[in-house]
Amino acid sequence: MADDEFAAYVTARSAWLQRVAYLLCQDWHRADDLVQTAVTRLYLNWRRAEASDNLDGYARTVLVRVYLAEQRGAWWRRVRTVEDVPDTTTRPDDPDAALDLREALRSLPARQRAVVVLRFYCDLSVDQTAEVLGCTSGTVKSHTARGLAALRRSLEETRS
Amino acid sequence: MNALKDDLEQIAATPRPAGAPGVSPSAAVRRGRRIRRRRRALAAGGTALAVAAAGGVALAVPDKDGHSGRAPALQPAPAGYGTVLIKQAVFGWVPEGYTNIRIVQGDGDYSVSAGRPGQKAGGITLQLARGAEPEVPRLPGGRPGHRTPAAPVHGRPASWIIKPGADGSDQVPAEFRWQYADQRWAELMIVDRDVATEANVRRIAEAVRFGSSEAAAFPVRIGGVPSGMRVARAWVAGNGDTDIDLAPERGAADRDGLSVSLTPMARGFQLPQQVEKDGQVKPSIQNITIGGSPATYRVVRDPATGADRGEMLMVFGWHGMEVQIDLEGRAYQALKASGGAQGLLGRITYLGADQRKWTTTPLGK
Repeated sequence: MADDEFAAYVTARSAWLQRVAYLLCQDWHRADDLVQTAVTRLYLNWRRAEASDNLDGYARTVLVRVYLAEQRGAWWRRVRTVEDVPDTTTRPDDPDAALDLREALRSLPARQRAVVVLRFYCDLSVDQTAEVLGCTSGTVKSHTARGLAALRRSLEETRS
Repeated sequence: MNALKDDLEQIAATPRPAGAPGVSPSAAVRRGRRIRRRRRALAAGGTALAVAAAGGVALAVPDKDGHSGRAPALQPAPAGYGTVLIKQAVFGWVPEGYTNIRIVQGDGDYSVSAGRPGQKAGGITLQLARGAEPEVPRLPGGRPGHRTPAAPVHGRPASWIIKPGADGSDQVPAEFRWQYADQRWAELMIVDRDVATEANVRRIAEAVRFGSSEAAAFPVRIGGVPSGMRVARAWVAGNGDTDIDLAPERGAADRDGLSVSLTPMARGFQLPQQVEKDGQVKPSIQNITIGGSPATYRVVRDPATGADRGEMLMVFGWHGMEVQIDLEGRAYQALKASGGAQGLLGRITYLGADQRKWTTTPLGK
């Protein structure tokens, strides 16, 4: 029965988790791999996850931690310095801005990128972000300030 | 920040390419069950270990950082440190127009990059590893990677992880690995397609020099660093980009450490401005001014107790650099009496852009 509930949850929420994963790594293949690993871990802790106040938050935390753990692996070393953007964007209102941000986001260290995604895409507070990353609020604030400054610097560089 | 959120949503809405593997709940269930079975089997085996321990085998229980015993406090008395970063490997030949741009050394990691002047990321990166041969990384799309045997380098085994023009080279043009000593591996990654030919990669690999005792030089001298710390990570690039992270001998950099980072600011870079209540226009990120430069200063508080546990200081335009100093835990306590992050900034001396004037011992008294 628990397996059915798990499968129903993953089916309903995998698209959202894939979007978060894509923002973190900017490669759909890898995003799917990250989510697949994350939902396997979610399955292993399903009882605890189900009992938590915020199942989505639990799943997102697992995903971000899988992503950060993978940075230490060889895959990260391979994809992080690739100069070509592997996937193309949709036609946004301001395509240049999105493309610039994509490049700038990609240039951030993993934890800063995770902070930017969690705070400004997932709308988490500093304290919630600290909980996801397992660090202090001060560290999140530091990563936020540093990440935003780096984004601004990269955007200035690409547009100058 | 709404514009940032909008842009992030646009990126997240990037269409999925055909062939992306997708997510399978049933595969997660199958794999999850296998892992559970394996854990149960290991737990059964672990009982024997528990019995042995009960029979009188004394075990040292390491703390979270892998050390036994209590961690000592750091001494606020300034310490002198020796060289911070030894060039374990250097390029002996790189393609024309290339130059060494960055050296990074962390706990167990070492890499050196070369690129064309002005390039931020290296077109050529050499990374060293110790111990058993590292696993072969997966190919784009998460497909299993594979080694392609190559002619030995100086008589040592070598292989292509990605051979130029072969599987995987559409994303990373070339990756080459060889064993340069017992339990020592070197891996070259080339992301510049213009230089990723078999001949070039082999020439770069054969010319790498290992075991150099030469120390890397840094563009700053930092005084008054507490004693009892170790260099957890050091990074220096030819353009002055510098990062030195110190951790207590027993402890982690992100909980009890000290980090000094300098990043050259782009020419003409302007911080985002905002109008204050008094009509003054100043950078939105600024809350203090240091030596005429806008700066951000924050005290880091422990979320559980609310007690001060660190400081973060960013200064924009310090000798054309963005400087960030982070102090956490024991490093913060040790430096409090000497002015904390701002005091430490005052003890940093910039040695200029001329690399001949840089120092190999940046942590001084």
